[in-house]
Amino acid sequence: MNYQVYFQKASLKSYRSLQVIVGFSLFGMLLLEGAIATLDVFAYATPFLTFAIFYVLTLFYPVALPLFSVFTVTLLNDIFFTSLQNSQTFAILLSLIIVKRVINFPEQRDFLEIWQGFAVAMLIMVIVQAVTFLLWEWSWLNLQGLLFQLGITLLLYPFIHVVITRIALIFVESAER
Amino acid sequence: MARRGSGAKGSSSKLSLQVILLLVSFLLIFVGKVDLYTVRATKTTISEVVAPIYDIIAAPVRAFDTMASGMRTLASFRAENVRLRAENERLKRWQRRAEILESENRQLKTALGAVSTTDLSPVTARAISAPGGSFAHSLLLDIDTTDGVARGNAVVNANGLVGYVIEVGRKYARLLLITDVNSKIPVLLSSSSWPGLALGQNSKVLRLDFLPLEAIPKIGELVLTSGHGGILPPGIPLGRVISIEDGTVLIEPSVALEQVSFVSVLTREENALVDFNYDDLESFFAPLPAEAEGRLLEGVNAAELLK
Repeated sequence: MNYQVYFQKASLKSYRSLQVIVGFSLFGMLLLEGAIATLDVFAYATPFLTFAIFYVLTLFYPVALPLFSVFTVTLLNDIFFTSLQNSQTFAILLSLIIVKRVINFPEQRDFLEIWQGFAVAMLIMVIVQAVTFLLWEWSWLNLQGLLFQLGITLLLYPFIHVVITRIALIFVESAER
Repeated sequence: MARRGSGAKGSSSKLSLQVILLLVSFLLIFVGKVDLYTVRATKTTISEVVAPIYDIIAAPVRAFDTMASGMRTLASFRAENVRLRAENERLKRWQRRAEILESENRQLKTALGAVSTTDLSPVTARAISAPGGSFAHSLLLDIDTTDGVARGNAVVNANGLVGYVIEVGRKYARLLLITDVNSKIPVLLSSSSWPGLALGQNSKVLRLDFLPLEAIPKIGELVLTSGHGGILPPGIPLGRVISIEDGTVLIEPSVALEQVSFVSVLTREENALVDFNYDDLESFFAPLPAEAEGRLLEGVNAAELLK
């Protein structure tokens, strides 16, 4: 038996509280995203705002967003909005895992590369969902709405990136003080 | 060295967690499709817990939407007034015509001894979620389900059919919109009475399918529910034919589904889907013959029958 663990210093720095807060905030964000769909402009085609936040946090602040949080939050959202009718949880998880494995050292990369990475991640998510939809329902998707969603999210990404990075910086600065 | 070992152990546990979560989420796709009581109850419970939170979060968006539409109306106040006056005159003419027809209809029914099928009572509900995205079109309703709301009940508003109830909780019910890919509604063409099936396509229009070869739908023709199957009541407007190309007939819904706020759920005293006892299914099936007899795929033995 390894007794060394008993003599290690206890780590009082836990990220659990941060993870819980981030998880709740993202769930609220997903619900807000659903509420935005009631506006005429975004009917049936809300931008994937929360996915953009997932992407930024997964790349730059993975400590704040463990995969389990992503799983729980997207599953609840999936049940609430679609009664588990789409494969959003699986698609988002798969896409984020691929992002984690493929994009290393995002801090040293050009923003354009990060943006391209987001486009690819979003495409993976949508393709997984579309394939599942095709296999289950044996029917084609409404591509017009989907392309609108992809386009508008891609355009909004730089704005979301800046906002999330700024908010995270405020947290980091207050923690350092 | 020990640290490197613990690091490797950590990364392997992370990988295994990723694999487990992926597998579970993949399995959930199948679970979502299976209509098990436990799954349905879990989904309903979660929806009931989340719905009030959603209602609070959506309040500012609703307020913004109301404000925006109010401003749009203000901007076109004069034009809107003229339009409404003209529409009012037109509706008054239609009302007189409807009253005459209703009276005539009642007299003819009495003369023929026709059976009335109006055993439906409406329950008002408020839509609290958006009509969905590219993959599913459903709505969550805030409704008192003790008023006899059940699966299969038709949901309508002043313009026509919105969808039908697929999940019932204690304070909430979920309805499947007519545009959802899983929605298949038996319909009739209003002028020719040819039956067909209106299929949702997860887009803003429905496809009219299974029409008889002799049927010739016309652009602008009204499509009504036929009542075939006994789930949805007959005669509810579904939409109008907007396109006929290469044998594909498209219907535009009568209801602007993306703007649905209040609806009526048509409940009935005897509900086919609710009163059906699934345990009774067993009585419809005879057990398979024992393997030893070996007659499952054999024809009837005439010699044995004669004996």
